[in-house]
Amino acid sequence: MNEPTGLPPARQLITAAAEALKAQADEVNRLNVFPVPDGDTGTNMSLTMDAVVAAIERLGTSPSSADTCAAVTKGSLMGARGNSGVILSQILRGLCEVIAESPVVNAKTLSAALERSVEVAFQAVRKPVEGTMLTVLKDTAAAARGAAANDETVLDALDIAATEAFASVKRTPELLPVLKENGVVDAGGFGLAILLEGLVAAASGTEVRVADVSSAAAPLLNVAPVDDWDDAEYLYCTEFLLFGDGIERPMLEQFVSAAGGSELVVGDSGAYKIHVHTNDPASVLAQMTSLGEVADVHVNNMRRQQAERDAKLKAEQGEAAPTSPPKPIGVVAVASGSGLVEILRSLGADVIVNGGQTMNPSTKDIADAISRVNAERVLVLPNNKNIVMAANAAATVADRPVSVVPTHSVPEAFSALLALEPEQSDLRTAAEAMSEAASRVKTGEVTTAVKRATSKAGKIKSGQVIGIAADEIEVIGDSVLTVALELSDFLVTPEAEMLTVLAGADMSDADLGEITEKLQERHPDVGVEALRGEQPLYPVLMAAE
Amino acid sequence: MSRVAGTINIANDVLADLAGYAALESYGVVGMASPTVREGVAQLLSKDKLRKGVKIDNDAEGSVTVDLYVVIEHGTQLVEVSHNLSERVRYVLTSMAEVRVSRVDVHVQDIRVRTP
Repeated sequence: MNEPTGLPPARQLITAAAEALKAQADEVNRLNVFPVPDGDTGTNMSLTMDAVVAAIERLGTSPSSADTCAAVTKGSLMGARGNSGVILSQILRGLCEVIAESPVVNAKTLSAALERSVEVAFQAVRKPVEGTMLTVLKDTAAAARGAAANDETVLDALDIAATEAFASVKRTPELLPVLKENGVVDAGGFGLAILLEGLVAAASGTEVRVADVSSAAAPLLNVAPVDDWDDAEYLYCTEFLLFGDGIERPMLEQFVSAAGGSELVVGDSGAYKIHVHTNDPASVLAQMTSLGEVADVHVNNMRRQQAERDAKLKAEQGEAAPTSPPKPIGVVAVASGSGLVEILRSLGADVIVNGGQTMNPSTKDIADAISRVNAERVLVLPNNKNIVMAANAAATVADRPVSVVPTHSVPEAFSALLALEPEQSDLRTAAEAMSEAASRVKTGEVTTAVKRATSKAGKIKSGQVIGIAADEIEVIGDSVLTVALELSDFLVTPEAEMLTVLAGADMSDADLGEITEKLQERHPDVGVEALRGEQPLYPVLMAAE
Repeated sequence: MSRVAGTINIANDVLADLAGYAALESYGVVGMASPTVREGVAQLLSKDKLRKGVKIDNDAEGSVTVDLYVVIEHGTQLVEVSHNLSERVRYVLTSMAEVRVSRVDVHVQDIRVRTP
């Protein structure tokens, strides 16, 4: 490549861009929405760039522009990994075609090179999908064209192009619905923008600044872990890590899919995680140990596990003896956390369905629970906005009259249960009284963000503690204590008399004591009560009424 | 639970269409081709005849096998493009039609050299 005056050599620029991408690879990986194709966009693009860097490192000192371009083209072609890697190789090919033939690299060259990239990259696909890496490339080329028309310097033009790339990435959810549904931006486009920014930083000698592209719609909480121990066809759920050089993923996938069902192969050359449902884990492992080193082997008997779990659930729920006469109204409530379950039970809930924010029970789970209640009529407390629908659906298929009290949190259920009079037999009257009671409760939740996001309270980094009240993120902070204290201000109104604090499974009694004490100091007019809810994921639940 | 009893039958031609459209959105694939190459030239199939470039067979275990006849852009890593293609097709068939795909064979019938 011809070095434009004042710019570092091409080799240094490319290496820096590759490093910038590598540093963000995990971040890019996290944006993937398709569970199967191109599972690790960041890793794939980064490995493709590694091949490019390796190819230019094999060149002698001060290679000619044409040689560098040829090395970049060839390295990316041979090293292309995954869909994003193949697209990247076409982009680089287009860029190199123009740069190799240009005596100087100025803004006009950059613009022409990006234009050619667009051409080359779009030619390799019959039906380009908008809102992907290709869209970001197109927008970037347009920005470079504008910069060239304005006679910007090559460095400024590159900077303008990189800035537009991030802006374009941010717009991808508007173009591709699957991104919007998942609250992410396009991973490949983001990778491309990072590469450009890496070039800018290396050329101008500044730090790499990765623009915030998180979309406002980003969901904060992880979706439910897949509970797939429900495979009638196979007996064993087998999971392990496999290490070894030269193990090809397609070959692995083929073998694993022949061995059973629900197969999943994650990873890349040398390190894989494999998950498969099979009737013969021994032969799977025998085959795998012949390929490389196997570690962390887990073999679970799904049928037994399921039976054990059902039995345990039954025992936990301690169903009312069927010999006693049925109650006029029974209650099914959804909750997870031994403490919350115990409190619900002590307040009169008959059957508890295990579930919550990250594990929504199915309609069938709720319907089964209804059928186990020894009562003439049943009230269901879903205790989460996302479970209300399933509860309503369960009500329509139940074998007896059922009404749903649309509670959005477990503390709401506590108040609702207190409002249920034991001799009440009219379902509707009871449901209304309980809804009334539930609506007076203000619930706050403290948890940890698993993704970057933007909220009412500002930008959130992954790992920060957030406080949620009425489905809005109101507080962002770094410790559970400070967030809980600030969040309490959103809950405790002048009419409030009582503030209940429910400690999650991971919170120690000492921490709970400290939070309770500080809350009492902060709100001297209300009574603060501390209980152990043992709920997962939320170190603190608070309810004021 | 609340679903109506009944079965759903999806014709193999429909699966072939789904696979064909998925292939066209797959990067590096410039078109579907007929399985028979006449006079050494693979014919690019028009968009309404994509299913002619796809063979769907049912195997004994109730899953399907897919054969894709494609034309790929010259200058792309053919193996990687084919691998991405088979993953995408399997993903689309599994997620849209909920069929089990036991194997996907990609037949690269031709490569297209870019028109300058």
